[in-house]
Amino acid sequence: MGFRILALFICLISFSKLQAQSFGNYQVIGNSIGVSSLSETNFKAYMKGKYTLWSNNHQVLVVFPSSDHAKAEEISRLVYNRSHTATRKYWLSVVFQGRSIAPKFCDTDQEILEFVKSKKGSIGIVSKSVGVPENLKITIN
Amino acid sequence: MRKVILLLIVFYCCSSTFSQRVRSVVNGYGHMSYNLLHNLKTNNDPTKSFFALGEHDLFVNSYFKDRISFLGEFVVKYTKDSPTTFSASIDRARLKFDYYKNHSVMVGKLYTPINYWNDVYNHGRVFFPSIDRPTAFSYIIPLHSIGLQLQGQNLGKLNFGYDVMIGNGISASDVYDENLTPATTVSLHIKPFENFRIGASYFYDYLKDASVTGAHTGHTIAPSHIHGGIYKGELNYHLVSSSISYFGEKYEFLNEFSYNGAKTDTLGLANNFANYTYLGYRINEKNTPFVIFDFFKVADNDLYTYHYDIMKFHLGYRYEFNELLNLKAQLCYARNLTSDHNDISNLEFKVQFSYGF
Repeated sequence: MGFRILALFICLISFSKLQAQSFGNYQVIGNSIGVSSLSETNFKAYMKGKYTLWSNNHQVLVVFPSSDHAKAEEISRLVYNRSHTATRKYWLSVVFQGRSIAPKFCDTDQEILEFVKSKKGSIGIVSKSVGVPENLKITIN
Repeated sequence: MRKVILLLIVFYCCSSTFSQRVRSVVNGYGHMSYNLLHNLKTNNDPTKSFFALGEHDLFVNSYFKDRISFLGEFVVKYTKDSPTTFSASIDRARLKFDYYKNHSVMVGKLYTPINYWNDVYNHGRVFFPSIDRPTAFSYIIPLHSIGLQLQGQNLGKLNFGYDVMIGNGISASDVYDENLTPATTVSLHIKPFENFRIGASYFYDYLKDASVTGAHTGHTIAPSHIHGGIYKGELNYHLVSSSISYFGEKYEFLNEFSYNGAKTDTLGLANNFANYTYLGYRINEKNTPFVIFDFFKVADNDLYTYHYDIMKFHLGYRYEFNELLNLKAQLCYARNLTSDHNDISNLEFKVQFSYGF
């Protein structure tokens, strides 16, 4: 019995590390969001439009890959746990309800980076291979 | 003259500052349908078949600067008595200020925060899980309100949300209200886990003259089931509603319950009930069959909506091409539950394209 519990515990740890590694293919970027690190849960909550303002009172502005972005499907699954079509539908509905301002959809990582650079309070996700200024990097715990 | 020039300069500076910062998103929504109706109660020309162009709306969401935004929805729809057979209306126009964390204050014309359906879908047919709204939305639900609203959302672990609204009553127009007493709405909900929401609301309005129909009642103004004279006296209008919704990856469920108490000095309190249940099963991301049971009962002594009992059963199928286009087909059996409205006992088949652009 004790061995089974230990095995299950090891499996759970391995699984959670695997999750963290897959998230590690990407980096989170943000401009003047009042923090330099976020928990994964909080990051996903912000990306879903659950929060309106950052702690520094800047409006939360989500930047996300458009359907023309090469990694759109993968990033949607990673952040929203749903397809890119379902993610776009989710956002259309949230904006229609008036519960959040519309996110910015970008075609490339470079476009996401440029947008985040230009807008305070914006947050996005790009591939790790993209060169990002230190002041925009957000660590995910 | 100097003052005018100064004012113009100030206005120019403000507008140019705003124009640099304004970020607007414009979307449109619309629908069109085919309808085959068969009246089971008559032998005289019982079947009708026709296409129908539905309402089309332009949706604007503008973000002026940090914490201030505008939302507008402008609807064009068929109106028999209009010279062009179409009429335009402003269905939403509101300014929102996010004053603290997830708390905001809004002013303007909004969807009255009653029920899940009114809060989430309203004119967005492409978001509807089915073709039609619940029947109660054509009669007892005050769809829009003009006034001031306080809103909080996603608060705490249960994702608690509240909406408190004070505004013009259901007999008011978009620019004027005879009554000094404002209509009041209080709505609370929680979202304890992903895709699930449960909530309840209370709406109260005092009508000085119950015969005056404003811009904020259901979309079917002056329902055809009213026979005889219209009551013109005072009326106290209470509406208690509850909603349970779950729209998950596989299963979809929505229940909307409403109790409406319409109290007059003449006939006392009329107790009216509405219950709508939707159940859908997502075979995959595109295909969803569903069933609906819709029940609506207005008491004999009601002097606002007037006696009306109907039950509807729907069997439907939704195919989603993508998030902006879907096709729905629905078979409906509708029957009145009392003997005095024997004109309603129908079989209906509808096909609808709804889209966003």
